Amino acid sequence: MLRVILLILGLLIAGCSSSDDSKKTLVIYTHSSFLASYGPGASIAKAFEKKYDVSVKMIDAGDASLVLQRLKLDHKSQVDVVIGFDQLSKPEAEKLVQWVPVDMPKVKLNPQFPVADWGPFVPYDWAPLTFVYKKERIKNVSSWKDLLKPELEGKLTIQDPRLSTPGLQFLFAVKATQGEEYFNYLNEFKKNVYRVAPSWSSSYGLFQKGKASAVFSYLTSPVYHWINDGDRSYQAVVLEEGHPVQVELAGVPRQCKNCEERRSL
Amino acid sequence: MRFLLENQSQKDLMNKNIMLPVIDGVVQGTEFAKLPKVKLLPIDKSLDFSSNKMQNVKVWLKSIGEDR
Repeated sequence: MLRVILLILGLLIAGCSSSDDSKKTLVIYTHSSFLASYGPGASIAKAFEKKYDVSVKMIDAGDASLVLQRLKLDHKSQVDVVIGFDQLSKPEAEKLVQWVPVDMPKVKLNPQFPVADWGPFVPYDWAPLTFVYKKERIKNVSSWKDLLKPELEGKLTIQDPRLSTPGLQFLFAVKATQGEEYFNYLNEFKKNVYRVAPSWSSSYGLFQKGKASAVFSYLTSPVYHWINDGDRSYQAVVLEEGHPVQVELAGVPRQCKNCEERRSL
Repeated sequence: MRFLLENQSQKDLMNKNIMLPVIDGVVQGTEFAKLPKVKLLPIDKSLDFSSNKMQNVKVWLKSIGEDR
């Protein structure tokens, strides 16, 4: 297994373009937040460059929901690795682009991490999703049914599932927990929605400004406030029926130069 | 890909992406270990759901809709 991984890594490095005569360049497509000043992109790139003596060029492909579309549009460009699409985008990823299968490295997995067939991709982080709130703003919510309570009217913000991966996760969770009552649940839930935001960041902004009392976000979001603001009033709602999970994936695209021409022929 | 699953990379991802690590042991002794352990919806169901994404979004449009 290790030899296979090293071989793939070797092929990646060997297949990279050269930015100068001395170093190869590994081109990585990822989403904006991975590359933001607070994101992990810079430190991971730096550590990789140091360890493997290559240059890493990370390209901001926009919002997480746009990374695969950008890859499709740039199918003639050199792209060695794509980082940052989730499991709900996996069918689309496999449809839009061809991928080099990458075996999951043999590591001891977090026992809570969900087991699944990741296909040609490697999962690198994950989190359950839920509503995040401040203690004084929301009380006594412990189930998806509780989210329909009249006292929550106009107090929740979610994301548009057409534009946002958390928004799509919310929709999945409603379907998974409500079954045939899926449509009726959404109809009833509507009164409690302050706003459907186009992105996770805009919905979180509404929550931070106090316009919404709770936001659909990651179970891990409160940790940011615990560490950076010293504010432990940020909490995550625990929902007894269960939580959707976002698993972030990375993959190696099989970019070729004349794919479209061959298909046309 | 092995590099992303190395201990230090997983720590960077956890602390800067504010997500949980895939490998075992990284959260120990951190604030992330204080998060509640929750029941997860089946991951396979989410993969099935994503195959019918547009159909599900249409249901969403009919219920919550675009006017919010």
